[in-house]
Amino acid sequence: MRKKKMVSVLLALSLMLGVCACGSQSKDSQESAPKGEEQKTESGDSQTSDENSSDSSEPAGGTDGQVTLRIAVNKHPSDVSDNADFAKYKLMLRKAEEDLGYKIEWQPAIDQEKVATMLTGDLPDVFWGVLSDSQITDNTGLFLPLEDKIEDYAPNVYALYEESVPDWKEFLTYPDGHIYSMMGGTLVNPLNAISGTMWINQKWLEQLNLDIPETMEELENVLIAFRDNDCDGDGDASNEIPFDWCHKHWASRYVELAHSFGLPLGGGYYDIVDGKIVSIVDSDQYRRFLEEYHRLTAEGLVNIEGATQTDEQYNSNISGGKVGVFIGWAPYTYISDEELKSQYVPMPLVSAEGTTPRLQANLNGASRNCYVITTACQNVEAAMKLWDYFSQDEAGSFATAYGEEGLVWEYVDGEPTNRIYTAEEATEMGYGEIASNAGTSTFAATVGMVNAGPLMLKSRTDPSGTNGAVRWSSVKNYEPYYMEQTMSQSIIPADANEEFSFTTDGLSEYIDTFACDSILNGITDEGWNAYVSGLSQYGYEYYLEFQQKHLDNAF
Amino acid sequence: MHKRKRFRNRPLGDRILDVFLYAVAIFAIVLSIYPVYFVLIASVSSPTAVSSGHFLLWPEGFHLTGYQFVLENRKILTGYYNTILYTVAGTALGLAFCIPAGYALSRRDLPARKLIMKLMIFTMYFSGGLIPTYFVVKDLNLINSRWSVILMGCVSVYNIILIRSFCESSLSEELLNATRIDGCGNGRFFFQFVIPLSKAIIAVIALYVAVGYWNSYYNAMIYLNDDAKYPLQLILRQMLMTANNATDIQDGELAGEYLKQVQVVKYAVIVVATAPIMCVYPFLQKYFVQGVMIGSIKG
Amino acid sequence: MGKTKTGSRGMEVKKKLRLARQNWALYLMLLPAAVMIIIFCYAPMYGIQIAFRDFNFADGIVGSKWAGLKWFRYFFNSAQFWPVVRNTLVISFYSFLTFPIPIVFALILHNIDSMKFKRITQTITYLPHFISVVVVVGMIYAFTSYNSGWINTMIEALGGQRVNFMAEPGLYAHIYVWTGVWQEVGWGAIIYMAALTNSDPELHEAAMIDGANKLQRIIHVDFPAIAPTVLIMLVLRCGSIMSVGFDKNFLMQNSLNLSVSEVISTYTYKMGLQNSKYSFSAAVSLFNNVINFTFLTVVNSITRKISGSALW
Repeated sequence: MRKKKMVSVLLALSLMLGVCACGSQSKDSQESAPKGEEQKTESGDSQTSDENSSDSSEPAGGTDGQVTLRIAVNKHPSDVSDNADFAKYKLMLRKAEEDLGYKIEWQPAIDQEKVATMLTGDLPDVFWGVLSDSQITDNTGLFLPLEDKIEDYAPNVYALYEESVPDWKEFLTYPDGHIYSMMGGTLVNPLNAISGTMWINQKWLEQLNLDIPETMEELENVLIAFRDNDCDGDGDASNEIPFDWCHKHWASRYVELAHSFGLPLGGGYYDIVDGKIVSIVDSDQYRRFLEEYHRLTAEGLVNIEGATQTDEQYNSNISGGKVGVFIGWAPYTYISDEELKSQYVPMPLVSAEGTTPRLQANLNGASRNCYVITTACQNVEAAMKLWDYFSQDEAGSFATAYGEEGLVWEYVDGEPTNRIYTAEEATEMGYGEIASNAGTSTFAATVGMVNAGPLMLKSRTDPSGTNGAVRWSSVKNYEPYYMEQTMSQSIIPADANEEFSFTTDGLSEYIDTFACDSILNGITDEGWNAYVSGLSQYGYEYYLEFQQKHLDNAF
Repeated sequence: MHKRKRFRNRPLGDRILDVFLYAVAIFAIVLSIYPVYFVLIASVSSPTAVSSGHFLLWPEGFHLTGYQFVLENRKILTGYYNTILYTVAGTALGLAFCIPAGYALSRRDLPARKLIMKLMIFTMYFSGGLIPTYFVVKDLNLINSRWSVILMGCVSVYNIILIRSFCESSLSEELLNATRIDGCGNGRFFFQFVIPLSKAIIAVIALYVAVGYWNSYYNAMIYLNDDAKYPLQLILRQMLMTANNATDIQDGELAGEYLKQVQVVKYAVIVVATAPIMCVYPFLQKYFVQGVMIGSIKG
Repeated sequence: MGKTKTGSRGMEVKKKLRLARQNWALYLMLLPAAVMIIIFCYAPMYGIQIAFRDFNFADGIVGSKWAGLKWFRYFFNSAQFWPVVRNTLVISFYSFLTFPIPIVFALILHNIDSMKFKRITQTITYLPHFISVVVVVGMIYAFTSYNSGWINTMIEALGGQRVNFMAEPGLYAHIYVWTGVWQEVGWGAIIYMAALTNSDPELHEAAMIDGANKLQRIIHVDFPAIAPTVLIMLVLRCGSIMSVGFDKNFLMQNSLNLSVSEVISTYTYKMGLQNSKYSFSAAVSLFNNVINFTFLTVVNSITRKISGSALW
C-alpha cells in the first residue's frame, strides 16, 4: 500500500510537470502586458530557427493587412521603462505606430548572450541599435541587403544621405558589396571626438599665485607647488594628489598623457603621416614620454596608483577634493558638489619641450549599424518606412533620440538646443511617473533612444551652464592638435578581422603593461631593448601592416 | 547522559586546546564581521568615503538615498517577489529530485549504479553550451516562462553526489536488513527511515539549492523576456552593469553620469538583495544534530 | 573453463536482473533527476561540435563549415597560451592547498563546548560568502590603497614602509587566494559540519574512558567520521583544476599584474569581445573540460585503489 502511494506521488509529480510545462506558454501570454505578449504568440510563429522559411499561417505580416513588426532594441541601463512597455515614454515610437498603423513589439536586448539567442533561433524583424559591425559581417546570411530599397522605400533617408553625407555608400557597404544597415547617431559630434581632457583646480592656482600651465615644465612647477602646500585646507600638506590618472577608467588612461609628447596613442598604437602608418610605441620619443612620467611619479607629483586604482577610487579622490590636476571627461562626471565642481577649469594640452602635441580625433560620430533588417522580416517595405518615419526631418530625428520637443531639447533660432528642465515641467508634459529623474541621464534614456536615434547631422547646441558647454570648453583647446588624416572608416572583412585578433592577441596588454610598469618603476636599457624586440612576438609588424591596409581600403 | 567534568578538573592538554579552539573561533568572527559591517555602513555613506580606503567604523557622509531608491523602485519589489517564488519552488523541486536520486545511488545493491553515476558526472564537465540548450528550452515551449528558471536549476549532480556520500556513510546496511525482515519495502524505508536520519544533509542541500536560486540571474537573463518575471539579481545586475559599460562608450556624457548614480545606490541595493538569504541558515542549524539512530543497532 | 565461465557470468547477469526487479522503486527514485539531466544536459550535448566548426548564426550549428582543430591551433599557438595556462594552474594549485582549512575549521567548531557560541560562530562566519565579488574586490582595492588605504596607514604607523599591494605581481596570488579563504571558510565548513553529525558521541565517551585527550579524540573519532566526505570533496575539487573563476580575476586585474592575473577565463572573454567568435570560446572551454575530466578520472582511480571508495 505504501509502495503504491509512493509510486502515485512520483508519477503525479512528473505528470504535473509535463502538463505545466506545456501549458505554460498560453498561460503566460495571458498574464503579461496585453500588447506585447499577444504580438508574440501571433507573429512568434514566423520566427523559426531556419531563417529563410516563410510563415505559412500568416501572409505578409498579419491577417487583414495589419502590419506587425518585432523589433529588438538596445535598452540603455539607465532606462527605467518596463521591457513589456518599452515605448511607454518614447513619444516618437508611439506616434509612428499610430500614424503608420503598425503593431510593433519592442523587445529590449541588453546582454550579449541575449543577442546571441536572438540570432540563433528567435530572429526578430529588425535589430535597432543592438548589433556590432563584426556581428553583422560574420552573419550576413541573416540580414537583408538594402541597397536597392533605400531610394524607393525610405525616400527621406535617401535624400538626407545624398545631400549631407558624402561617401555614404562607401561607409555603409559591407565587404560583400551589400548594404545591410542604416546610419544612426550624430554625424558631427565634436564633444565625442576625443576621450579625456585635462582639468586643473583654479582655486588652488589662485591661492598659490600661479597661472594655468601650458608646457610640461610649467606643469611640473605647478605640481610641485600642489604637492608641497596644503591646498585643500585640511591642515595636512601631504595628502594632496597633484596629478591623478586612472588606467582602469576609459577616459583617463596613460594614452591620454602621451598626447603632450606628440604621440597620438588615444587612437591606436600608430600615427599617420603623409598617408603612411608610423609606429609610435618603440620610438625614442615614446621612451622619453615614459621616463618623464616616471620621474614625475617618483617625485610624488603624479599619483603612484594611477596604473592600478579602480575608477571608484579615482572618483573618490576627485570628489574628495584631493586632486590638483586630473584627466577625464569633465568635472561633473566625477563631482556632485557644485562648489567643488566649479573649481576645476580646462587645462590646455600641455606640450613637452620641442614637441607639438598630437592626437587622433574621431570626427565621424555616426554609427553604421543602427537599423538592420533580418531575413525573418515579412514586410521589408514596412520596416523601411518605419525608419523613414523617424528620419522624416531633423525634428523627427531629434525627437526619436531625445524625446519630444520642448522638454530635454527645443529649437532656439532654428538650432536644436539642450534645455535645463525641471521635474514640474516634466510632470506637466505627462511624464509625472519619471519626473523624479528630471535632468539626469535616466530621464534622457527613458524618453528617447539616445545614441541609437536615426542619423542627425549635428549635435544639439549647449547653452552656457549646461554640461555640454563645460565639456566643449575643454575640447576646443585640443582641436588645433588633431591629426590631419584619420583612420579610414571602412568595414573590415570577417576573415581579416579573425586573423588580426589571433595574430595580435596579447599585443595591447603587452604594450600597456610595459607602459604602466615604466611609469611606476622606470626603464633600464636592457628592459627597453627586451620590450622592443618582444613587440614582434605579439605581432606588432602585422598590426602596422593591417592598419596600413585599413587606411588604404586594401582588403 | 555523561556529565562533563568541570573545566579546571579537566586535563591540562584539553584546557589548552579549548582555549585555542575558542581563540580561533573569535578570530574568525572578527574577520568575518567587519566586512559585513562595512557593507552595511557603506550603504548609508558617501561613495567618496567608501572608496577612499579609510577604516570606517561609523557612516561617513550619511545619506539614505540608496534605500530611498530601492523602496521607490517598483522593479526591485517585483524582483523580490519573483526571487522568492523561484527559490521556494526551485528548492522544493530540487530536494524532491535530488534526495531520492542520491539515496538510490548510495545503495550498493543497485545494478548499474556505477554506470549511472558516470553518466551523470560526465554532464558536470561536458555541455553543449548556450545555443543548443536554448533550442531545447524553445522546443519545450518554455521561453519566457517562469518554469524555465525553476526547472533548469533544480537538479545538480554535485548535490546528488553529496547526498549519496552522506547516505553511504551514515546509513548502515544492517539497518536496512533489519527492516527488510519486517517486510519493509524500499519506498517505505526511504520515507520512514532515510529521510529522518538524513536531516543534516537535507538541510545542507536545501541551503545550497536555495542560495543557488537566490543568487542566480543567468537563466532568467536568457530565457525570460518580460522584466515583470525577472528575479532580483538580474534586475540588479542590469542596473549596476558598470563593468560592461566601460567598453561600450558611445556617449561619454551618459556613461559618466551613470557611473556616478550607480555608486550612490550600489551598496544599499546589495544589502537589500543579500540580507534575506543570509538569514536562512540560523533556521537550518537545528537540523545539525546527531543522527538519532546512531548506535541504535548493537551487536 | 569456457562453459563454467559463461555459466558463472550468466548467473551474475541473472542475479543482477533479479536485484533490478526487486529494487524497481530505487530506479523510480532516480527517474525525475535522470529525466532532467537527459533533457537539459544530454539533449543539447551535440552542441560540443561548435568547437570544431566555424560557427555562424546564419548557418546554424550543423550547417557551419567544419574547421577541425583550427581554433585549438590558434589557442595553442597564441603568445599568451602558456602564460595564461600557467597563471590558471598557479592560482588553482595554490587554492587547492587551502583545501584542508574548512575541514579543520569544522572540526574546531564541532568541538567547542558551548552550543550557543558554536551557533553564533557558524552564523557569522558563513556571512562573507554572500558578499558579492564586486564588493569584495572594491574593498581589497580600497583597503590596500597606497595613498589612503587603512592597511598601509597602519603599516606606516607601526614604523614600516608602505606597500603598493595591487601593483606587485608577486603578491597577486596571495591576495587572491587568502581573500578567497576568508570568504569561503565558513560556508565551506557547512558540509563537514553536516558530516560530523555522524561522529558518534558514545565513541567519544569510550575514548575518554580509555584516556584519550581531546586532540586525540578529534583525530581518531571525528576525522574518520568525515573521512568519506573529505575524500569525495577532494576528488571533486580535483575536477576543477582548470576552472579558475572569471569575475574575481577580471575585477582584480590591472595593467601591472596582468602577467599573473590573466587566466584562461579572462583571456577567452577578451578574445570573445573582439570578434564574437563562439567557436573559439567553445574550443577553449572544451580544452578546459577535457583536462578537468581527465584529471578527475586519474585521481578517482588512485583514490579507489588506495581507499576502496571513490566517486565511481
